[in-house]
Amino acid sequence: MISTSFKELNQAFTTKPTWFFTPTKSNYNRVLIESGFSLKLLNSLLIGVSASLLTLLIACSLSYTYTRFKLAGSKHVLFWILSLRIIPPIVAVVPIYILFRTMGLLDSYLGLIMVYIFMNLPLSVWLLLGFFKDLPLELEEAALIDGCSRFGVFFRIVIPIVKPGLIAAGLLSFIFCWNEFLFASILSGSSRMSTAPVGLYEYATPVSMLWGHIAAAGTVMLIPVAIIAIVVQKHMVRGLTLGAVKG
Amino acid sequence: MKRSHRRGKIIPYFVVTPGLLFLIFMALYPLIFSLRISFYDWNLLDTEHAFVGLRNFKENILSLNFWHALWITVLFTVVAVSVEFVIGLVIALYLHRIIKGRRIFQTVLLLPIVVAPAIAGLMWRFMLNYEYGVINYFFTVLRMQRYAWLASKNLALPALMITDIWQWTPFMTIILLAGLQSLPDDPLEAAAIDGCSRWQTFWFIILPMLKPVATIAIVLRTIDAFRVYDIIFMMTRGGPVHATTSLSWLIYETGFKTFELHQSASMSWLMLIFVTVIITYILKFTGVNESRK
Repeated sequence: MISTSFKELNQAFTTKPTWFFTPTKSNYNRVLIESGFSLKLLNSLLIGVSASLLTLLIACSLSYTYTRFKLAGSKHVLFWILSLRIIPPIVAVVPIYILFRTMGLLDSYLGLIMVYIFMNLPLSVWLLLGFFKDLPLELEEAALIDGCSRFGVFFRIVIPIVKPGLIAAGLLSFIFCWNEFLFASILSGSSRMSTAPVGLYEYATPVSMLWGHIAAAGTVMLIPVAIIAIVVQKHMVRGLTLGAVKG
Repeated sequence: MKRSHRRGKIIPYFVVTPGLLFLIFMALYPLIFSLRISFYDWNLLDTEHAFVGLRNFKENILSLNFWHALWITVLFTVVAVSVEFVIGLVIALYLHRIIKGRRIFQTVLLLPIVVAPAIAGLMWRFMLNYEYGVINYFFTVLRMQRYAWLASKNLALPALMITDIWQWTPFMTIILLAGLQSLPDDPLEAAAIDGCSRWQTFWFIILPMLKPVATIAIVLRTIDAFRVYDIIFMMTRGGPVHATTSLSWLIYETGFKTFELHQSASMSWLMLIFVTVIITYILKFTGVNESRK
Protein backbone atom coordinates (compact mmCIF):
# COMPACT_ATOMS: atom_id res chain seq x y z
CA MET A 1 0.00 0.00 0.00
CA ILE A 2 2.74 2.41 0.93
CA SER A 3 4.83 1.68 -2.09
CA THR A 4 1.91 2.31 -4.44
CA SER A 5 1.09 5.55 -2.72
CA PHE A 6 4.65 6.55 -3.31
CA LYS A 7 4.45 5.75 -6.96
CA GLU A 8 1.32 7.79 -7.14
CA LEU A 9 3.07 10.57 -5.34
CA ASN A 10 5.83 10.70 -7.86
CA GLN A 11 3.54 10.44 -10.81
CA ALA A 12 1.05 12.96 -9.52
CA PHE A 13 3.91 15.27 -8.85
CA THR A 14 5.44 15.12 -12.26
CA THR A 15 2.59 14.54 -14.67
CA LYS A 16 -0.48 16.24 -15.88
CA PRO A 17 -3.52 13.90 -15.72
CA THR A 18 -1.99 11.52 -18.27
CA TRP A 19 0.17 8.62 -17.21
CA PHE A 20 2.70 9.08 -19.98
CA PHE A 21 4.67 12.24 -19.97
CA THR A 22 7.82 13.99 -20.93
CA PRO A 23 9.46 15.51 -17.90
CA THR A 24 9.55 19.27 -17.94
CA LYS A 25 11.61 21.73 -16.00
CA SER A 26 9.26 24.68 -16.41
CA ASN A 27 7.46 24.19 -13.09
CA TYR A 28 10.73 24.15 -11.24
CA ASN A 29 11.96 27.20 -13.07
CA ARG A 30 8.79 29.03 -12.23
CA VAL A 31 8.87 28.03 -8.58
CA LEU A 32 12.54 28.40 -7.81
CA ILE A 33 13.55 31.32 -9.94
CA GLU A 34 10.61 33.46 -10.96
CA SER A 35 8.41 33.43 -7.87
CA GLY A 36 9.50 34.08 -4.31
CA PHE A 37 9.50 30.48 -3.23
CA SER A 38 13.26 30.20 -2.90
CA LEU A 39 13.16 33.11 -0.49
CA LYS A 40 10.63 31.21 1.60
CA LEU A 41 12.85 28.15 1.52
CA LEU A 42 15.66 30.32 2.81
CA ASN A 43 13.39 31.66 5.57
CA SER A 44 12.47 28.10 6.52
CA LEU A 45 16.10 27.10 6.56
CA LEU A 46 17.17 30.03 8.71
CA ILE A 47 14.33 29.63 11.18
CA GLY A 48 14.68 25.84 11.28
CA VAL A 49 18.43 25.83 11.85
CA SER A 50 18.49 28.54 14.50
CA ALA A 51 15.46 27.12 16.32
CA SER A 52 17.00 23.62 16.35
CA LEU A 53 20.37 24.82 17.60
CA LEU A 54 18.82 26.86 20.38
CA THR A 55 16.54 23.96 21.24
CA LEU A 56 19.58 21.72 21.58
CA LEU A 57 21.34 24.22 23.80
CA ILE A 58 18.40 24.61 26.18
CA ALA A 59 17.58 20.90 26.07
CA CYS A 60 21.17 20.02 26.99
CA SER A 61 21.19 22.48 29.86
CA LEU A 62 18.02 20.92 31.22
CA SER A 63 18.48 17.23 30.61
CA TYR A 64 22.18 16.98 31.45
CA THR A 65 21.78 18.90 34.67
CA TYR A 66 18.78 16.87 35.68
CA THR A 67 20.54 13.54 35.06
CA ARG A 68 23.75 14.45 36.87
CA PHE A 69 22.67 16.52 39.85
CA LYS A 70 20.01 15.89 42.41
CA LEU A 71 17.78 18.90 41.98
CA ALA A 72 14.66 19.51 44.01
CA GLY A 73 11.54 18.04 42.41
CA SER A 74 13.38 16.87 39.31
CA LYS A 75 10.91 14.08 38.61
CA HIS A 76 7.95 16.44 38.67
CA VAL A 77 9.67 19.04 36.54
CA LEU A 78 10.63 16.50 33.91
CA PHE A 79 7.15 15.04 33.86
CA TRP A 80 5.72 18.53 33.54
CA ILE A 81 7.96 19.15 30.52
CA LEU A 82 6.73 15.91 28.97
CA SER A 83 3.11 16.83 29.60
CA LEU A 84 3.54 20.03 27.58
CA ARG A 85 3.41 17.78 24.55
CA ILE A 86 -0.35 17.40 25.13
CA ILE A 87 -1.25 21.08 24.64
CA PRO A 88 -2.83 21.44 21.20
CA PRO A 89 -1.00 24.22 19.31
CA ILE A 90 -4.29 25.85 18.35
CA VAL A 91 -4.87 26.57 22.04
CA ALA A 92 -1.79 28.77 22.16
CA VAL A 93 -2.25 30.48 18.81
CA VAL A 94 -4.57 33.31 19.83
CA PRO A 95 -2.68 34.41 22.98
CA ILE A 96 0.66 34.16 21.22
CA TYR A 97 -0.68 36.15 18.28
CA ILE A 98 -1.85 38.94 20.59
CA LEU A 99 1.33 38.86 22.64
CA PHE A 100 3.55 39.02 19.57
CA ARG A 101 1.42 41.79 18.12
CA THR A 102 2.08 43.97 21.14
CA MET A 103 5.75 42.99 21.22
CA GLY A 104 6.14 43.63 17.50
CA LEU A 105 7.22 40.05 16.86
CA LEU A 106 4.68 39.32 14.12
CA ASP A 107 6.36 38.74 10.76
CA SER A 108 9.73 38.25 12.36
CA TYR A 109 12.18 35.40 12.58
CA LEU A 110 12.47 35.67 16.33
CA GLY A 111 8.76 35.09 16.99
CA LEU A 112 8.58 31.85 15.03
CA ILE A 113 11.91 30.69 16.42
CA MET A 114 10.64 31.13 19.97
CA VAL A 115 7.46 29.18 19.27
CA TYR A 116 9.39 26.39 17.60
CA ILE A 117 11.89 26.10 20.43
CA PHE A 118 9.00 25.75 22.82
CA MET A 119 7.30 23.09 20.73
CA ASN A 120 10.50 21.08 20.22
CA LEU A 121 11.79 21.19 23.78
CA PRO A 122 9.74 18.34 25.32
CA LEU A 123 10.90 15.95 22.61
CA SER A 124 14.54 17.03 22.71
CA VAL A 125 14.77 17.07 26.51
CA TRP A 126 13.36 13.56 26.83
CA LEU A 127 15.35 12.21 23.94
CA LEU A 128 18.61 13.54 25.35
CA LEU A 129 17.68 12.42 28.84
CA GLY A 130 17.88 8.85 27.62
CA PHE A 131 21.28 9.40 26.02
CA PHE A 132 22.73 11.09 29.10
CA LYS A 133 21.42 8.33 31.35
CA ASP A 134 23.14 5.69 29.22
CA LEU A 135 26.45 7.44 29.69
CA PRO A 136 28.72 5.75 32.27
CA LEU A 137 29.45 8.02 35.22
CA GLU A 138 33.00 6.73 35.59
CA LEU A 139 34.24 8.58 32.51
CA GLU A 140 33.20 11.93 33.84
CA GLU A 141 34.48 11.16 37.34
CA ALA A 142 37.87 10.26 35.95
CA ALA A 143 38.05 13.55 34.06
CA LEU A 144 37.00 15.47 37.18
CA ILE A 145 39.74 13.82 39.20
CA ASP A 146 42.24 14.70 36.50
CA GLY A 147 41.40 18.32 37.13
CA CYS A 148 38.86 19.04 34.46
CA SER A 149 36.12 21.52 35.34
CA ARG A 150 32.45 20.58 35.18
CA PHE A 151 31.94 22.55 32.00
CA GLY A 152 35.14 21.14 30.59
CA VAL A 153 33.86 17.65 31.25
CA PHE A 154 30.61 18.44 29.51
CA PHE A 155 32.16 19.91 26.40
CA ARG A 156 35.18 17.60 26.08
CA ILE A 157 33.81 14.28 27.26
CA VAL A 158 30.03 14.25 27.25
CA ILE A 159 29.27 16.09 24.02
CA PRO A 160 31.49 13.90 21.79
CA ILE A 161 29.93 10.74 23.21
CA VAL A 162 26.32 11.76 22.90
CA LYS A 163 26.84 13.32 19.49
CA PRO A 164 24.50 10.84 17.78
CA GLY A 165 21.76 11.82 20.20
CA LEU A 166 22.36 15.51 19.63
CA ILE A 167 22.33 15.06 15.89
CA ALA A 168 19.09 13.07 16.05
CA ALA A 169 17.37 15.57 18.33
CA GLY A 170 18.55 18.51 16.26
CA LEU A 171 17.48 17.03 12.96
CA LEU A 172 14.09 15.95 14.28
CA SER A 173 13.55 19.49 15.57
CA PHE A 174 14.55 20.80 12.18
CA ILE A 175 12.05 18.53 10.39
CA PHE A 176 9.33 19.75 12.70
CA CYS A 177 10.12 23.42 12.02
CA TRP A 178 10.38 22.78 8.32
CA ASN A 179 6.93 21.20 8.19
CA GLU A 180 5.05 23.37 10.67
CA PHE A 181 2.14 25.22 9.13
CA LEU A 182 -0.28 26.58 11.75
CA PHE A 183 1.98 29.06 13.52
CA ALA A 184 3.85 29.86 10.33
CA SER A 185 0.65 30.87 8.57
CA ILE A 186 -0.74 32.94 11.44
CA LEU A 187 2.36 34.63 12.81
CA SER A 188 3.85 35.56 9.46
CA GLY A 189 0.83 35.47 7.17
CA SER A 190 1.55 36.64 3.67
CA SER A 191 4.73 38.56 4.03
CA ARG A 192 8.28 38.18 2.88
CA MET A 193 9.10 36.47 6.16
CA SER A 194 6.83 33.46 5.70
CA THR A 195 8.13 29.91 5.49
CA ALA A 196 7.94 27.30 2.76
CA PRO A 197 4.68 25.53 3.77
CA VAL A 198 2.91 28.88 3.68
CA GLY A 199 4.48 29.65 0.32
CA LEU A 200 3.24 26.31 -0.92
CA TYR A 201 -0.30 27.25 -0.14
CA GLU A 202 -0.03 30.48 -2.08
CA TYR A 203 -0.11 28.39 -5.24
CA ALA A 204 -3.56 27.18 -4.22
CA THR A 205 -5.32 30.32 -5.38
CA PRO A 206 -9.08 30.64 -5.10
CA VAL A 207 -9.30 30.80 -8.88
CA SER A 208 -7.33 27.70 -9.74
CA MET A 209 -4.95 25.27 -8.17
CA LEU A 210 -1.56 25.60 -9.80
CA TRP A 211 -0.88 21.90 -9.43
CA GLY A 212 2.33 21.97 -11.41
CA HIS A 213 3.81 24.62 -9.14
CA ILE A 214 2.50 22.98 -5.99
CA ALA A 215 4.05 19.71 -7.08
CA ALA A 216 7.40 21.23 -7.88
CA ALA A 217 7.49 23.25 -4.64
CA GLY A 218 6.37 20.23 -2.64
CA THR A 219 9.08 18.06 -4.12
CA VAL A 220 11.73 20.65 -3.39
CA MET A 221 10.50 20.80 0.21
CA LEU A 222 10.48 17.05 0.49
CA ILE A 223 14.06 16.37 -0.59
CA PRO A 224 15.92 17.71 2.47
CA VAL A 225 13.66 16.01 5.02
CA ALA A 226 13.78 12.74 3.12
CA ILE A 227 17.58 12.84 3.20
CA ILE A 228 17.52 13.68 6.91
CA ALA A 229 15.11 10.83 7.60
CA ILE A 230 17.44 8.36 5.94
CA VAL A 231 20.49 9.74 7.75
CA VAL A 232 18.99 9.61 11.23
CA GLN A 233 17.01 6.45 10.57
CA LYS A 234 18.68 4.66 13.45
CA HIS A 235 17.57 7.19 16.03
CA MET A 236 14.24 7.99 14.46
CA VAL A 237 12.25 5.53 16.58
CA ARG A 238 13.71 6.81 19.78
CA GLY A 239 13.13 10.36 18.69
CA LEU A 240 9.56 9.88 17.56
CA THR A 241 8.57 8.35 20.89
CA LEU A 242 10.34 11.00 23.00
CA GLY A 243 13.01 8.50 23.93
CA ALA A 244 10.57 5.97 25.34
CA VAL A 245 11.26 3.19 22.83
CA LYS A 246 14.77 2.35 21.73
CA GLY A 247 15.03 1.49 18.05
CA MET B 1 36.23 24.39 51.06
CA LYS B 2 32.77 24.70 52.51
CA ARG B 3 31.95 27.64 50.33
CA SER B 4 32.93 25.93 47.13
CA HIS B 5 30.86 22.95 48.14
CA ARG B 6 27.80 25.11 48.50
CA ARG B 7 28.51 26.83 45.24
CA GLY B 8 28.66 23.43 43.56
CA LYS B 9 25.16 22.81 44.79
CA ILE B 10 23.71 26.06 43.55
CA ILE B 11 25.26 26.25 40.10
CA PRO B 12 23.11 23.47 38.62
CA TYR B 13 20.03 25.51 39.49
CA PHE B 14 21.45 28.45 37.60
CA VAL B 15 22.01 26.25 34.59
CA VAL B 16 18.43 25.01 34.40
CA THR B 17 16.79 28.33 35.24
CA PRO B 18 16.79 30.00 31.79
CA GLY B 19 15.34 26.92 30.12
CA LEU B 20 12.70 26.43 32.76
CA LEU B 21 11.73 30.10 32.77
CA PHE B 22 11.34 30.01 29.00
CA LEU B 23 9.16 26.91 29.19
CA ILE B 24 7.05 28.28 32.01
CA PHE B 25 6.53 31.54 30.20
CA MET B 26 5.68 29.96 26.84
CA ALA B 27 3.37 27.39 28.41
CA LEU B 28 1.62 29.35 31.10
CA TYR B 29 1.29 32.72 29.44
CA PRO B 30 -1.02 31.51 26.62
CA LEU B 31 -3.04 29.36 29.00
CA ILE B 32 -3.57 32.07 31.57
CA PHE B 33 -4.21 34.71 28.94
CA SER B 34 -6.83 32.63 27.19
CA LEU B 35 -8.40 31.71 30.50
CA ARG B 36 -8.65 35.41 31.27
CA ILE B 37 -10.15 36.50 27.97
CA SER B 38 -12.61 33.66 28.06
CA PHE B 39 -14.35 35.49 30.90
CA TYR B 40 -14.61 38.66 28.80
CA ASP B 41 -16.33 39.83 25.66
CA TRP B 42 -13.09 40.21 23.74
CA ASN B 43 -13.49 40.96 20.07
CA LEU B 44 -10.22 41.65 18.29
CA LEU B 45 -11.74 44.69 16.61
CA ASP B 46 -13.07 46.33 19.79
CA THR B 47 -10.92 48.33 22.14
CA GLU B 48 -12.98 47.84 25.28
CA HIS B 49 -13.71 44.46 26.71
CA ALA B 50 -16.59 43.75 29.08
CA PHE B 51 -16.44 41.12 31.78
CA VAL B 52 -19.09 38.47 31.15
CA GLY B 53 -18.25 35.74 33.66
CA LEU B 54 -18.96 32.22 32.53
CA ARG B 55 -21.12 33.28 29.60
CA ASN B 56 -18.63 32.16 26.92
CA PHE B 57 -18.29 28.70 28.39
CA LYS B 58 -22.06 28.45 28.76
CA GLU B 59 -22.57 29.50 25.16
CA ASN B 60 -20.07 26.94 23.95
CA ILE B 61 -21.54 24.16 25.97
CA LEU B 62 -24.99 25.02 24.65
CA SER B 63 -23.83 25.57 21.08
CA LEU B 64 -24.38 22.87 18.55
CA ASN B 65 -21.33 23.93 16.56
CA PHE B 66 -19.01 23.11 19.42
CA TRP B 67 -20.42 19.66 20.03
CA HIS B 68 -20.49 18.95 16.33
CA ALA B 69 -16.82 19.88 16.05
CA LEU B 70 -15.99 17.76 19.08
CA TRP B 71 -17.86 14.84 17.55
CA ILE B 72 -16.01 15.25 14.24
CA THR B 73 -12.67 15.42 16.06
CA VAL B 74 -13.37 12.36 18.19
CA LEU B 75 -14.69 10.40 15.22
CA PHE B 76 -11.64 11.34 13.16
CA THR B 77 -9.26 10.46 15.98
CA VAL B 78 -10.85 7.14 16.90
CA VAL B 79 -11.21 5.86 13.34
CA ALA B 80 -7.83 7.08 12.11
CA VAL B 81 -5.83 5.92 15.13
CA SER B 82 -7.45 2.49 15.37
CA VAL B 83 -7.06 1.79 11.65
CA GLU B 84 -3.46 2.96 11.84
CA PHE B 85 -2.85 0.73 14.83
CA VAL B 86 -4.33 -2.41 13.28
CA ILE B 87 -2.67 -2.00 9.88
CA GLY B 88 0.55 -0.88 11.54
CA LEU B 89 0.57 -3.94 13.78
CA VAL B 90 -0.07 -6.33 10.88
CA ILE B 91 2.75 -4.82 8.83
CA ALA B 92 5.06 -4.81 11.86
CA LEU B 93 4.35 -8.49 12.57
CA TYR B 94 5.09 -9.29 8.95
CA LEU B 95 8.28 -7.25 8.83
CA HIS B 96 9.40 -8.81 12.10
CA ARG B 97 9.40 -12.25 10.47
CA ILE B 98 11.31 -11.31 7.36
CA ILE B 99 14.94 -10.45 7.78
CA LYS B 100 16.13 -9.68 4.27
CA GLY B 101 15.27 -6.19 3.14
CA ARG B 102 13.76 -5.08 6.43
CA ARG B 103 16.05 -2.11 6.37
CA ILE B 104 14.79 -0.97 2.98
CA PHE B 105 11.21 -1.27 4.17
CA GLN B 106 12.05 0.79 7.20
CA THR B 107 13.51 3.52 5.04
CA VAL B 108 10.45 3.59 2.81
CA LEU B 109 8.21 3.65 5.87
CA LEU B 110 9.99 6.69 7.29
CA LEU B 111 9.22 8.85 4.30
CA PRO B 112 5.48 9.54 4.81
CA ILE B 113 6.19 10.47 8.42
CA VAL B 114 8.52 13.30 7.48
CA VAL B 115 6.33 14.67 4.70
CA ALA B 116 4.82 17.97 5.83
CA PRO B 117 1.12 17.38 6.61
CA ALA B 118 0.49 20.41 4.44
CA ILE B 119 2.08 18.66 1.45
CA ALA B 120 0.30 15.40 2.24
CA GLY B 121 -3.01 17.26 2.32
CA LEU B 122 -2.45 18.95 -1.03
CA MET B 123 -1.16 15.73 -2.56
CA TRP B 124 -4.24 13.79 -1.53
CA ARG B 125 -6.47 16.63 -2.65
CA PHE B 126 -4.92 16.25 -6.06
CA MET B 127 -5.26 12.48 -6.03
CA LEU B 128 -8.91 12.70 -4.98
CA ASN B 129 -9.71 15.31 -7.62
CA TYR B 130 -12.97 14.61 -9.44
CA GLU B 131 -11.76 15.01 -12.99
CA TYR B 132 -8.13 13.95 -13.08
CA GLY B 133 -7.36 12.46 -9.68
CA VAL B 134 -5.66 9.10 -9.58
CA ILE B 135 -8.23 7.59 -7.21
CA ASN B 136 -11.14 8.38 -9.47
CA TYR B 137 -9.12 7.12 -12.42
CA PHE B 138 -8.85 3.74 -10.68
CA PHE B 139 -12.55 3.82 -9.94
CA THR B 140 -13.28 4.36 -13.63
CA VAL B 141 -10.96 1.56 -14.63
CA LEU B 142 -12.83 -0.73 -12.22
CA ARG B 143 -16.07 0.46 -13.85
CA MET B 144 -17.22 2.18 -10.70
CA GLN B 145 -18.67 5.60 -10.19
CA ARG B 146 -16.45 8.65 -9.81
CA TYR B 147 -16.80 10.54 -6.58
CA ALA B 148 -16.27 14.20 -5.79
CA TRP B 149 -14.65 13.21 -2.51
CA LEU B 150 -13.93 16.53 -0.93
CA ALA B 151 -17.16 18.16 -2.08
CA SER B 152 -19.35 15.43 -0.64
CA LYS B 153 -20.71 15.74 2.85
CA ASN B 154 -20.29 12.03 3.52
CA LEU B 155 -16.94 11.44 1.88
CA ALA B 156 -14.93 14.49 2.95
CA LEU B 157 -14.22 13.24 6.46
CA PRO B 158 -13.24 9.74 5.28
CA ALA B 159 -10.94 11.41 2.75
CA LEU B 160 -9.21 13.24 5.60
CA MET B 161 -8.98 9.99 7.53
CA ILE B 162 -7.40 8.26 4.53
CA THR B 163 -4.79 11.02 4.31
CA ASP B 164 -4.00 10.71 7.99
CA ILE B 165 -3.86 6.92 7.76
CA TRP B 166 -1.52 7.11 4.78
CA GLN B 167 0.79 9.41 6.66
CA TRP B 168 0.81 7.82 10.11
CA THR B 169 0.37 4.07 9.68
CA PRO B 170 4.13 3.84 9.02
CA PHE B 171 4.70 5.60 12.35
CA MET B 172 2.76 2.85 14.15
CA THR B 173 4.58 0.17 12.17
CA ILE B 174 8.02 1.51 12.96
CA ILE B 175 7.36 1.88 16.67
CA LEU B 176 5.62 -1.48 17.01
CA LEU B 177 8.40 -3.13 15.03
CA ALA B 178 10.98 -1.67 17.39
CA GLY B 179 8.85 -2.99 20.26
CA LEU B 180 8.63 -6.46 18.72
CA GLN B 181 12.35 -6.62 18.21
CA SER B 182 13.08 -5.77 21.81
CA LEU B 183 10.86 -8.57 23.16
CA PRO B 184 12.69 -11.39 24.94
CA ASP B 185 12.74 -14.76 23.15
CA ASP B 186 12.25 -17.00 26.20
CA PRO B 187 8.47 -16.65 26.64
CA LEU B 188 8.00 -17.30 22.93
CA GLU B 189 10.13 -20.44 23.09
CA ALA B 190 8.26 -21.60 26.16
CA ALA B 191 4.99 -21.04 24.35
CA ALA B 192 6.22 -23.01 21.36
CA ILE B 193 7.25 -25.90 23.62
CA ASP B 194 3.89 -25.85 25.39
CA GLY B 195 2.21 -26.17 22.02
CA CYS B 196 0.57 -22.79 21.73
CA SER B 197 -0.99 -22.05 18.38
CA ARG B 198 0.24 -19.02 16.51
CA TRP B 199 -2.91 -17.13 17.34
CA GLN B 200 -2.62 -18.01 21.04
CA THR B 201 1.01 -16.92 21.11
CA PHE B 202 0.07 -13.63 19.55
CA TRP B 203 -2.97 -12.97 21.70
CA PHE B 204 -1.70 -14.13 25.09
CA ILE B 205 2.04 -13.49 24.88
CA ILE B 206 3.10 -11.04 22.22
CA LEU B 207 0.25 -8.57 22.64
CA PRO B 208 0.52 -8.21 26.45
CA MET B 209 4.28 -7.82 26.22
CA LEU B 210 3.86 -5.23 23.51
CA LYS B 211 1.40 -3.21 25.56
CA PRO B 212 3.77 -0.49 26.88
CA VAL B 213 5.14 0.28 23.44
CA ALA B 214 1.69 0.13 21.87
CA THR B 215 0.34 2.51 24.47
CA ILE B 216 3.04 5.07 23.75
CA ALA B 217 2.33 4.85 20.04
CA ILE B 218 -1.42 5.20 20.55
CA VAL B 219 -1.11 8.06 23.03
CA LEU B 220 1.21 10.04 20.75
CA ARG B 221 -1.03 9.47 17.76
CA THR B 222 -4.17 10.39 19.71
CA ILE B 223 -2.60 13.66 20.86
CA ASP B 224 -1.69 14.53 17.29
CA ALA B 225 -4.88 13.36 15.60
CA PHE B 226 -6.96 15.32 18.09
CA ARG B 227 -5.34 18.56 16.94
CA VAL B 228 -5.83 17.87 13.22
CA TYR B 229 -5.61 21.15 11.34
CA ASP B 230 -3.08 21.24 8.50
CA ILE B 231 -4.75 18.70 6.26
CA ILE B 232 -8.16 20.28 6.87
CA PHE B 233 -6.75 23.65 5.89
CA MET B 234 -5.32 22.18 2.70
CA MET B 235 -8.14 19.84 1.72
CA THR B 236 -11.56 21.02 2.82
CA ARG B 237 -11.28 24.14 4.96
CA GLY B 238 -13.88 22.75 7.33
CA GLY B 239 -16.50 22.21 4.63
CA PRO B 240 -18.66 21.08 2.98
CA VAL B 241 -21.30 22.41 5.42
CA HIS B 242 -19.09 21.86 8.50
CA ALA B 243 -18.68 18.18 7.65
CA THR B 244 -14.97 18.41 8.47
CA THR B 245 -14.97 21.19 11.06
CA SER B 246 -12.70 19.80 13.77
CA LEU B 247 -12.19 21.56 17.09
CA SER B 248 -8.91 23.07 15.89
CA TRP B 249 -10.57 24.39 12.77
CA LEU B 250 -13.54 25.80 14.70
CA ILE B 251 -11.21 27.58 17.11
CA TYR B 252 -9.23 28.97 14.20
CA GLU B 253 -12.36 30.16 12.42
CA THR B 254 -13.92 31.84 15.45
CA GLY B 255 -10.60 33.42 16.35
CA PHE B 256 -9.35 34.68 13.01
CA LYS B 257 -12.42 34.97 10.81
CA THR B 258 -15.06 36.39 13.10
CA PHE B 259 -12.48 37.73 15.58
CA GLU B 260 -14.44 36.50 18.59
CA LEU B 261 -11.34 35.73 20.57
CA HIS B 262 -13.25 35.12 23.79
CA GLN B 263 -15.21 32.32 22.17
CA SER B 264 -12.15 30.74 20.64
CA ALA B 265 -10.26 31.03 23.93
CA SER B 266 -12.99 29.36 25.96
CA MET B 267 -13.23 26.61 23.34
CA SER B 268 -9.47 26.17 23.59
CA TRP B 269 -9.80 25.52 27.27
CA LEU B 270 -12.58 23.02 26.78
CA MET B 271 -10.46 21.30 24.12
CA LEU B 272 -7.44 21.16 26.42
CA ILE B 273 -9.58 19.62 29.16
CA PHE B 274 -11.02 17.03 26.77
CA VAL B 275 -7.66 15.95 25.39
CA THR B 276 -6.13 15.72 28.86
CA VAL B 277 -9.03 13.59 30.09
CA ILE B 278 -8.77 11.31 27.07
CA ILE B 279 -5.02 10.80 27.46
CA THR B 280 -5.32 10.19 31.20
CA TYR B 281 -8.05 7.68 30.51
CA ILE B 282 -5.95 5.82 27.94
CA LEU B 283 -3.00 5.68 30.33
CA LYS B 284 -5.16 4.47 33.18
CA PHE B 285 -6.98 1.93 31.02
CA THR B 286 -3.74 0.35 29.84
CA GLY B 287 -2.14 0.66 33.27
CA VAL B 288 1.18 1.78 31.80
CA ASN B 289 1.42 4.76 34.09
CA GLU B 290 1.26 2.61 37.21
CA SER B 291 3.77 0.04 36.07
CA ARG B 292 6.25 2.80 35.35
CA LYS B 293 5.97 4.30 38.81
